[in-house]
Amino acid sequence: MPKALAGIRVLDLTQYEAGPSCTQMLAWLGADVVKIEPPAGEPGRTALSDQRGEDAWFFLLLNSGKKGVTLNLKSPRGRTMFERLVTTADVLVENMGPGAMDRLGLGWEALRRLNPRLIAASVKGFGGGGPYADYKSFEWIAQAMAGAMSMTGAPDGPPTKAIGGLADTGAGLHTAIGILAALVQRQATGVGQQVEVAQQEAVVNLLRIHLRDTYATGKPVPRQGNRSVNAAPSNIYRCRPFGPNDYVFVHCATVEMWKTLTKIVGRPELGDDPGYADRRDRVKYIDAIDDMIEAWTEKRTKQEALEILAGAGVPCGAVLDSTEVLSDPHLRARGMIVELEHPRRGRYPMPANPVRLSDSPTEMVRAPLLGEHNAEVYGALGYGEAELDALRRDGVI
Amino acid sequence: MADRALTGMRILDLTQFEAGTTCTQFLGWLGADVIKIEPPGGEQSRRNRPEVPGLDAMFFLVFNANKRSVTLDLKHPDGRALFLRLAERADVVVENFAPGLMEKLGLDYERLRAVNPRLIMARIKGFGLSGPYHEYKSFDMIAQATGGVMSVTGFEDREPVRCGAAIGDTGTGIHTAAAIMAAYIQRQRTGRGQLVEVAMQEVVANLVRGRFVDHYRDGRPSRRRGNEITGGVPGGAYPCAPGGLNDYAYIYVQTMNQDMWRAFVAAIGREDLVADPRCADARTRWEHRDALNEIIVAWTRTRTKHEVMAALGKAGVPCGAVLDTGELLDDPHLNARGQVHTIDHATRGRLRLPGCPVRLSASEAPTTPPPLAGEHTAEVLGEVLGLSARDVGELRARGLLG
Repeated sequence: MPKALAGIRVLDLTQYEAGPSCTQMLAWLGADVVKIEPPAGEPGRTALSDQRGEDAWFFLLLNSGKKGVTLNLKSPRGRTMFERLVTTADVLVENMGPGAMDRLGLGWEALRRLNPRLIAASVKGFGGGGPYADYKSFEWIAQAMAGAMSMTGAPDGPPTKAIGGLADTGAGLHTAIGILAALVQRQATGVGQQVEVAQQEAVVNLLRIHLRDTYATGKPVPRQGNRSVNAAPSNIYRCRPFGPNDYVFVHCATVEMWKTLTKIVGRPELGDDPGYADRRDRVKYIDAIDDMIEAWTEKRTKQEALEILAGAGVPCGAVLDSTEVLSDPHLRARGMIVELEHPRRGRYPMPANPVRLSDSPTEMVRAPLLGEHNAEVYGALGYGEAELDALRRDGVI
Repeated sequence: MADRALTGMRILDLTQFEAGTTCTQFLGWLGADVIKIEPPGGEQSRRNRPEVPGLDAMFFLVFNANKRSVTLDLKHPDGRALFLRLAERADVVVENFAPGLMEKLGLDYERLRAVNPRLIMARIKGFGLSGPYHEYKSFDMIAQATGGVMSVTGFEDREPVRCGAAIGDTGTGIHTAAAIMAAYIQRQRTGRGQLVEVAMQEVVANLVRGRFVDHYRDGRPSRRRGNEITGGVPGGAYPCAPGGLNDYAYIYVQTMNQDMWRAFVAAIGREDLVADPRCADARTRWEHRDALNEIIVAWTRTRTKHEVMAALGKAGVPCGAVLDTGELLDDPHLNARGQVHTIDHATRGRLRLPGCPVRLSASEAPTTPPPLAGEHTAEVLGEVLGLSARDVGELRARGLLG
């Protein structure tokens, strides 16, 4: 099967989410990703598990398509093996704490000496070079420090974290972009380079649209819950049977969408009223408009409302919960949710690759067991079975 | 300028609003030659709530740096013919029109491939090109609703809340940029282009995948939990002085890391808590979270969020001040790292914009001012198609270029 990144070998020293999401994307695109874990496994595999001794679901969601090997980078023999792997690699990705790679003696200069063609990518909370360089970070810290939390939540409530991996998977994808660009550049120059992504900056990039109000007014963007200060209707509306996620989001950008909506909810005269033609003018009547729409949605389930509204060209989305996303008929029909089989966890639904290339189909392969590919990967370096047994016994792998 | 990562990649950029424009801006930072093809009068988002009537809106300016602009009427058959001539000489076409529009223009992938088999065509859609929702329109919030992020954001006793950051739109743009470069790498081996497709709903599901864990554990939907981190004390947004809307600091001491807890209590001057039986481990701290959070709030409330962050950050405790959008552009760290770029725009004057969020040591990423509509029409048609000033003048007189 053709693959966009066939022949590209990635050494994956990543843990938790920000790094693994990057290398998982590269694996989906066809790279040979070798995940190198300490002999006890990376913390995302072990510490986050709901069952002691079993790989965490979290790990399975972020490490598909990779080979897994174990290696103690702090032992001299492990270090030698790692250096040999570096000479065979195109890319190395890590998201350890600030300074950890230098402490291992694996800073950029050392890596470059081993392999001048290597592209070395780092995901950090704040990145080197500024006053926060040494500060630790994780998802919510970066959301706070990038403005995302200040603009999420109800107007009368506190800043609220958004429960998506904006800073983790978001930074991971930004890193994948940097790596791919560096691979393109290497084809012209023959040498590798360093790629760095800071979570704080990745999240700023994801919300740059909302800076526009600050340019205009000099004031911070307020929290607006689900409403917009610039458009109506743009909100969530309750649906039957009124569970915690029984809502649809409706957003009318154009006058045609507004006209269609008013016909559907039985108020066509408002669609023809010039005072309601502009979405900004409609903000004046926001409460009445929201009541009018909710009076209609309350008689329907979110799936019914979605079919009627979206089917008529009104932008509408059912608020799907995580279970509904995994069973959504559209995502299933498109192969975005696939069933995988894990030797210990059994069958499970897995969100696949959201990026489709017509000439590089994504094969979904479950995350590796700890050290599953030790024999294969180290065998290719020339280590025989007896040697691997000794290394295992000595805690090197 | 020195060579950059994507020097030599020519992109015809048919994008509008956000999901597409963020993709091509990113590729522009990385060195691609991005030629934005706009209808006469300019792409719609130039006029999306312009702060100064008649000038390009900030909405447009934050997404369209590092591009050249060509105006071209694709509704006119000769305009389409001119576009196809450009496509013969391009590496990539990116579009995020409403479902079916490219087909209506006769510019679907099959047509483009026929004129240039090496072309990579990237198509961004709300729900993709197939499946039961594929004809549905989408926006950032629609993708957030259907991708699952809204259901888990907000407080347990309240309604779902959309995430402030535009993960449906810009999130899709970055996924598409990654796919385009992968296809470009593949083309260097195969000599052939391909079709790239990205759906906004799926992008959101990808960004939120780490939060599907609850489903696997017990088959039930993940719940909204406000700012709290289950099991974490401290774990959440703590109010700071002087008590304004965004005067909070997010603090989290990792549950498995007792050293971090000791560093935390030392930083807040409460070493006495180390010996406190309520603080023996993460489990006991969680059992006594109300009392302990009260102690923590007493400390944060008397300090600004920046003071809290400096004290805890230096002690190795993860902590982030909740910055608002104004504070962001002034943030000393982002400015020290050169992440906030100042540009000189032809009509809007000096502006600060967030720059490229990815750093490559061998590929600089300056931010150049977003172009005026049609600013580079004559330049590009001359350079790419060899048209003379007179040729361009004639096309302009016929109304093809606006």
